[in-house]
Amino acid sequence: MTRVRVEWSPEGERLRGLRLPVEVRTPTLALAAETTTGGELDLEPGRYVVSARLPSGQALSRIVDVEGERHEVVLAAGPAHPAEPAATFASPRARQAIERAAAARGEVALRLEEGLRRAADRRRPPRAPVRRRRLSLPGTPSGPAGGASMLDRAGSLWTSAVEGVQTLLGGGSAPAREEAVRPAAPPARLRFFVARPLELRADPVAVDLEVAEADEDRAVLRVPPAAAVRCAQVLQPGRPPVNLALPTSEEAGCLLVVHREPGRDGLAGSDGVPGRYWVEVQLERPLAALLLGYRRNNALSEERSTAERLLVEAGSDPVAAALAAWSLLRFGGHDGLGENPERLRRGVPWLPDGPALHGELLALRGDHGAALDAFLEVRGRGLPLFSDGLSALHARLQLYARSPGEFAAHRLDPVRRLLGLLQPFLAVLDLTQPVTTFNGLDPARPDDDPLPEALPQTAGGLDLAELF
Amino acid sequence: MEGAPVAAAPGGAVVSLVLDRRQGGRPGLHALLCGVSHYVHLPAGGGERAERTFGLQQLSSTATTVWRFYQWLLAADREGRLPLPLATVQLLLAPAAAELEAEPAMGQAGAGLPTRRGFVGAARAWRQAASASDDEMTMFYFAGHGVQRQQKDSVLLLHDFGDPGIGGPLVNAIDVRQLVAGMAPPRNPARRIARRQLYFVDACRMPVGDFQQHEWQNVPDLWVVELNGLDDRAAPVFFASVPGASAFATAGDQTLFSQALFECLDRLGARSPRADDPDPRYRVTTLSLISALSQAIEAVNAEHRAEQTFAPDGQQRDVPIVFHDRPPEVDVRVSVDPDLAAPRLRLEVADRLGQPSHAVDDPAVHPWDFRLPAGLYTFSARLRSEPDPPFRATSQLEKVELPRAPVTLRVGP
Repeated sequence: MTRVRVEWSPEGERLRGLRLPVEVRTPTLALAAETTTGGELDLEPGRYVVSARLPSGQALSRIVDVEGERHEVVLAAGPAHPAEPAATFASPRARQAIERAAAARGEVALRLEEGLRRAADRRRPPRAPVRRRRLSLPGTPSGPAGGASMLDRAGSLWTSAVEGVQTLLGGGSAPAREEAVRPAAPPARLRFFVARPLELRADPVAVDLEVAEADEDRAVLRVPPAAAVRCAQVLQPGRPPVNLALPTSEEAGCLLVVHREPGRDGLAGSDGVPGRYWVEVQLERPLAALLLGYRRNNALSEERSTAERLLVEAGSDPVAAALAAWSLLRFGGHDGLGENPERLRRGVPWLPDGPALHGELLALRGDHGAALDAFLEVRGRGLPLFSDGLSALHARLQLYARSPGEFAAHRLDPVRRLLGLLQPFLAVLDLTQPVTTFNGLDPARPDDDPLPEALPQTAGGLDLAELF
Repeated sequence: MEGAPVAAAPGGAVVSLVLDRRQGGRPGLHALLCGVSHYVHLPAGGGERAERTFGLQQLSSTATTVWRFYQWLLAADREGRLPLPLATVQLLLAPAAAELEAEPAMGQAGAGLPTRRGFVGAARAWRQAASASDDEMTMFYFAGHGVQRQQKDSVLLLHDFGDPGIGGPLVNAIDVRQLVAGMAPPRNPARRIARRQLYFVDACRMPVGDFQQHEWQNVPDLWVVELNGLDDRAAPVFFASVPGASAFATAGDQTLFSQALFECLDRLGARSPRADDPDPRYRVTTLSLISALSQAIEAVNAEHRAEQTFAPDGQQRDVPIVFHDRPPEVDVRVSVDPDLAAPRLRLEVADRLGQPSHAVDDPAVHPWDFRLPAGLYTFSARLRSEPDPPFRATSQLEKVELPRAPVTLRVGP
């Protein structure tokens, strides 16, 4: 047998140390073994295909001939998604925003070049030493991948465009770069609440945000740890307010990734048809972020193996443990959950997902009396942080409410009251998002009403346009 | 037997058992298939108009879709590719006249009408067949109109939906959640039910405003739902559209979801087995199907300029759905770098045993697109005349695996 170690060398701090699920296949592509990057396994000498996959779909693969006592396999990345590494953990919808922003940036640059050429023709100036750089968008044959290089190229193109304008105008004072060529970021605000919607309460709260990353199209805000049920609310003109649960705990914060999307003609805010923002929650713990990424991208095999690992490695982080447990429940792996759901329910008194998880596990085991007790505890804690939790809670309570022969009447009254509180949320819940996401200006009273075309002056919160 | 005349159950309810191959004691696959194109109480349905039609119209492809799914099941069973032999099929069809004209066999198969009564009878017989043992397997496929009263909710509208002679707009409809809950393992350990259950719901989940204004527009119970015992089912539900979206179809042909589904069942969803699995065949499983469907639906949308969507739900325990006797065909695209070398090269492909698999010798074509069965291959770019600096011949060992295999051969600086 040969002891085989599998490694990979990703770009970016956030990806280093991430242990991706790895499949080892025979030459007939039958699955021989599974491990993770950074892990080791024993294989008979011979030829194997070793592969892994990032949530965004990028494949890493090597065909190796294993021999000797020890063998190291370093996985090489295949063709990268144009938006890597920024898009590694993103949903398909967020990647769309990234791609549209990159395409718009290309359109802007091309229009500026065209504008300069026309101005030059009209004025017939002497040949101006305008520096022009060939535009290369990430992922095109002439350009390497990478969000950072996209920024570099865009920045240099703005520079050369402005310098060109200055030269054509005979060296007069040129307008500031931002005023001359940079389109305005669309308006939007970000607010935070401590949410107790099942008690019809949502109290504004200040959150000490840190801007972890920012470029022209994307900003990453770090939300600090807190053992509280909070939500972020995004206000954009003409759209329903969106409330996103913040999956934080005492042990770990989370990240809000704000993608700026261009308007209709590719120029955000420049033609009266404003762009918008797409905001997505990511977990700070890398393995949890990886799981959420696989979930968002329907990479179910990788999601399942990552959830199994996260449940073991979550340690004292209840939010990471809850995320893993919901995935495993969906895959029918409730045997492997052990005592974790009960531990989350009894040991983490603020976490709504604890009793929801324990209730669902008890229900799957057929212990419906105990399940009902667990579900009713959710009301005192708030909406589950993950949409699986809200769905499971609602479905079970509906089933119990229609099973009067199973429970004493007095036990069903609180079920019906809780259902009445939950139903408005189910009506506006975005079930495509794994983190609980719903519409409504008041997080305690959800609705689908869009905001007016101009945000009220008293909206408060962080001005998202200032990030860009 | 197949295509037997519809039998009448006691009480006059029509039971649409078109296939019954049960062999005592041997587990099998039991299908309940329901395709509704013709809605008798909607405009042009020929019956008394419903009091409220909610803007719904006749359909033209949903019965055909279910009929084709039935044919797919029969073919897969004949070829021994289903996880269990096909044991029973309950078939309910309400085709449009044009569908019957295009596929006359639909009218001769002995299918029952998907009225409320017909569906309830078929569903109960289906559940009874599935209760022979825990080792049975079930498949459910519905195609027709669907609406939602709230999120995580799907109500399927039957052939006699909107009957003005019956109170309430949703009485001739089926709550999917109730259907699935009623198939849960019972608490009484002496009673059994299939532990592998697949549900395909190929219907709109449009939120109909009028429905939402009345919180409890009750859909009458399909059956008494007893609370479950240990629920260790594999019971994935494949919804053809996410909440609030429409399901799309090619008029008179089949639904876009089913086109994507068949592509996945027949090729795109196939995965290789574990090396220690005694069955060496490729197979489509619950998880591989969910993963592949997203891509297949993207391709269908691109082809038809549609916005078909898909949402998996339910307990997604991984179980095989269909097997393949051969590795699936994979789209391969081979390019050379630099591409200006392409006219000077020919391509040869050999399998892992060195046997020639494919060759391209056309200087006008590049990149080279073709299909190969999944596996390992050596791709060789050979110069037409040697030497031909700065280009050189090259060979590379590559994996060819779904969904597609791009290969780049570096033949020069």
